[in-house]
Amino acid sequence: MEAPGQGGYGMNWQGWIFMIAAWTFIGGLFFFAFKRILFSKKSSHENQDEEQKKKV
Amino acid sequence: MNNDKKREHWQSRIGVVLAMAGNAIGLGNFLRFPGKAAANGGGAFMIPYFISLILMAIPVMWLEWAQGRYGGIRGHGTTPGMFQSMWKNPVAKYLGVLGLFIPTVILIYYTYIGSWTLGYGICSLLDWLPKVNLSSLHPDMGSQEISKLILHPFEEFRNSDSGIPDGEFLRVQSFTYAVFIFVLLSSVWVLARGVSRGIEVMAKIAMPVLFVFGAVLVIRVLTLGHPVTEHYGSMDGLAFLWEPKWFIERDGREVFVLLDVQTWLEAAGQVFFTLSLGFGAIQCYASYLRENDDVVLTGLATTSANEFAEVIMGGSIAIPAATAFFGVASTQIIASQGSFYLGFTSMPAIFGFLPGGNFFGFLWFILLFLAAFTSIVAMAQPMIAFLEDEIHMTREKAAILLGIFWFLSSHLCIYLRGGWQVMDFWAGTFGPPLLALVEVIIVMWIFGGKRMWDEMHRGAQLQAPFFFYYTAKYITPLFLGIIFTAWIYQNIALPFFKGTIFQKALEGVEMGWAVWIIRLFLISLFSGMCITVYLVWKRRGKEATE
Repeated sequence: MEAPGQGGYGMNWQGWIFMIAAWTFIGGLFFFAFKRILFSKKSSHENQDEEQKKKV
Repeated sequence: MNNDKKREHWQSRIGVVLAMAGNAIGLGNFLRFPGKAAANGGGAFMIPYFISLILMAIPVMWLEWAQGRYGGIRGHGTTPGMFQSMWKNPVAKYLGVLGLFIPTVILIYYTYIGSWTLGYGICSLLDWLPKVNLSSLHPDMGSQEISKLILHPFEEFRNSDSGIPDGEFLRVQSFTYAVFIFVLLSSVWVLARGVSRGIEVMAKIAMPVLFVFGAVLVIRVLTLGHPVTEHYGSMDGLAFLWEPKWFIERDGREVFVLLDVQTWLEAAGQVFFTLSLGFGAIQCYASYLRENDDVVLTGLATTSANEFAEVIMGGSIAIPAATAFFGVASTQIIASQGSFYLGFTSMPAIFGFLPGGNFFGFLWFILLFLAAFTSIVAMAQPMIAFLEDEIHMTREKAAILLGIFWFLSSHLCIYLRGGWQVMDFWAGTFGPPLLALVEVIIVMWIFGGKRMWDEMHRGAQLQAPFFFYYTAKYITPLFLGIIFTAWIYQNIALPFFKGTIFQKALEGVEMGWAVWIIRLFLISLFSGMCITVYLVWKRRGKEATE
């Protein structure tokens, strides 16, 4: 059998583990952060402006 | 908070995140990362990569966001003013000049390089790229022979496009020059429209398009199967990139990859540059936040968007595509020739094989162009902000003035041999770790770590683990100090003692008068910026006493 990465044999289990772990970590962080930004109840800029106007 | 009302603000939070992501995502995500990973241990490279991301990149990213917001609400969009407001020492503002110098120099050469991507996109769509000559292939040829035969016309095309050496000058095609002018004018136009109407609108269009194009290309590449021979396919590219190589060869010796200093430096350097840390551009964008806008979650979102584009998309396009057509052995050679060879020579050749190759080639180069264009605008913004905030110029005037300087100085890169390489060496490689080290020391040690931690969490939608406080205070400066010292040792001390520093300016760039012109230009630019900062603060002092 050829050495890892020499072609023709697909990817070995270590490669799959590293790839899936890295993709899961980054993908998870990406969806967590964007979900909180897009769907959070935290006041948006517009609301902050309105809040400031109310204070004034 | 004197100038808060005069300064512009971002209109939406998603706009800030996309603009910041556009700032960070550049050519390096799609071209530099896969080459570095493949050459430094494959999957094993990701261990130092993620450790560097957590110990260095995320803390520095948060500090830059918080520092930018802190400066912005005090009327400063650039590091001279930000450093001065955090450290009341006259030296602070001159240290901050680095945050003006680095993005401005990068802007000068990156615009030209970014314009190549648009030029290639147009050529691909109009079928102006060289044709793949399949008739010259025969079954007995090895993968290296095939790749050499196929890549040669594309290599010649690239050389003629980026400039043919003629003594110390480069001869550039009029098409390349025209595309460069178009990119420069478009950037000035976006900048002149302002932060919310120009940069934010551009990011809201460019970034989703970039991610869609990236997804289409990833799917296309990973479904290529075995297009040339059953011996190799695109999945072998993923194997090439992800299978851990625990032992790699360094200077003729086999070394364990996790104990290899070079691997750690490559991983830390890649994480650092891909996120545009230490450029002064993140602080500038963050200075347009409002006083209570969140920086912790938005900073994390920007980091994750950049990493998504780099590790998931960047790792799944160029290398797997090259492996599918040329095999692993040839891909190793292609990757070792550098990022530009991978992006501008092997990729157009690969698309030449595919049905609808012109369309996919166009997607690839427009993807690179969008990545480059959003970064170009981000690199220009600090100078615009400086002219607006400190010299009180109008945005339109600032954009035009910068545009004229930008246009004139870009000719040093377009027509002088080694021009952009020398600029990249000082501004793109030497400068960022130095500026990051300076800013971490000022923020965490002089301004005060606890104070900055509280500043960072004002309006925060997410509590950062306190572990990051200690990391930012102790580990990050140590990490940056080691990177910077190792860089000086490798690039300056070692060539000096070997005597090669007097023969070669850089790897691949011979010493000549053109190199000295560029160096003189860089020294003059830095000195000019220091003098301007001196005059601005002198005038401010006078106004205050009157």
